[in-house]
Amino acid sequence: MTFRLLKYELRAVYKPYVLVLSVFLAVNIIFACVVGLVINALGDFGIAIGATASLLWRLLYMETGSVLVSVVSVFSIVRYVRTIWGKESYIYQSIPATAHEHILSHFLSFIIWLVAVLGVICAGVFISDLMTEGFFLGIFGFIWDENELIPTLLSALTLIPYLIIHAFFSIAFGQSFHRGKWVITAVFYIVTHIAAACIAILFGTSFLNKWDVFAHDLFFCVYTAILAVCYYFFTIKFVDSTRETY
Amino acid sequence: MSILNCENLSKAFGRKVVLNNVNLSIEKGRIVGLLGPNGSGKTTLIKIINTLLVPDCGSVRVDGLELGIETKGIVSYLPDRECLPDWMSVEELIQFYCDFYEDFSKEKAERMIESLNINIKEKFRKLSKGTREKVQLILVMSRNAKLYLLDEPIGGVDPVTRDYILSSIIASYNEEATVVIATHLINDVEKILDEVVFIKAGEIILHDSVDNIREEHNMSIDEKFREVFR
Repeated sequence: MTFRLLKYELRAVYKPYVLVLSVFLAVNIIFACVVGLVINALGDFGIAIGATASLLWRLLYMETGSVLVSVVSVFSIVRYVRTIWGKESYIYQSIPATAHEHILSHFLSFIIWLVAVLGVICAGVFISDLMTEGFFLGIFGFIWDENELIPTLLSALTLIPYLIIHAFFSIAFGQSFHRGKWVITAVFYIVTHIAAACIAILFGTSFLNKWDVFAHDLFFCVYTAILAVCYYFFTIKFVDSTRETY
Repeated sequence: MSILNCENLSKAFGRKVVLNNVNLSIEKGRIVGLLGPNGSGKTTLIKIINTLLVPDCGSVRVDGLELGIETKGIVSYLPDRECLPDWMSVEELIQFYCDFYEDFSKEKAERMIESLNINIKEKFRKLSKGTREKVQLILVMSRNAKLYLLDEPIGGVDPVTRDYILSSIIASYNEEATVVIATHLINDVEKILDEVVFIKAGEIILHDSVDNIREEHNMSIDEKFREVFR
């Protein structure tokens, strides 16, 4: 049942995602072509222009990538609310599926689109590099420094799913009240997030003196993963026991 | 044997008590009208039976089973509002029902859609209001469910569509199944009902067969309704 639900979750949003990601990739390729032509046509002067343009492009690229990740997160939350408590909840909650299957399908859909966005971002860099004969990765080189890459990826891969599960849980908690659902959701999200961050900092810094940065990041990842799992099971409990479809 | 059994069922939203100690038993193979004025608790009762709401106390059994995944598989529910994902076409909606309900008859749904000259490729949101209601009803009635819960199936549609909906209900349900129709439009549904349940301020005040009411009280259901709720 989870995969059937997942199929419809993916289908519900694939059109705008495919469109936006295609445009993102196409613009990136066009830019790389232009930079490649400028470098080849103008020699050293072209390299200087290409380097400046690429640095600016890198900034835009990262910002656009962040926006895409945010859009995927927001869309996932909107779909979650719409199918569990909103208009479509009448049909989705009538399906012979458990709360666990509903929430898991939303979470998996989010992860799949997140991986797709990150994949397109990486593909964009590699295609650009291919078209400019190594020029782009020269500019982006610092990203691939493994000292930064592994902890950064590890942190991102646990932090982003944690944030979405935390949002799911806060919404489920807020929806169990009769009044001020969204205010309670927002307050609860912020307070629990600050509390979780404080604990992470409190314990994390004590590890920092003994171990290196990697150990600190590993602790952070394990901590967020445990929190995410706890939030996930509490979300199921809330959706199951306080379901209120108006 | 009863298909639906509610015992001491209560539900409140905050301080407002919507259902108060409801006891109700409905036999298999009946068409039952759940009748009451607006705000009497009809929709809340139907939502609880369909597990969309959790009761504060009491128990509900459908075909002897406690509410859960199994009962969702044997209850076909038509809500009092449009709830289908409007980004899907009619064809995709049929496939959606086919994917999630083992008892759904795709052929039956396609046949009914075709008989109404509805374009199967059309997006649900682009259909007219009446057509959307018909599509929703067709999908619900194309299941071979044991219990059909229809919440205001004829509210807000024109008389021709009302006739279509009522005739579809009669034509679609199998005789082993039970249909519960919640409405306050008594006149329109009276002709197809076997039993009526009058609900007032969250309490069942009358549960009897239509024939009994007509014979004993010598009045139509509509007249009886007006007398009780005056």
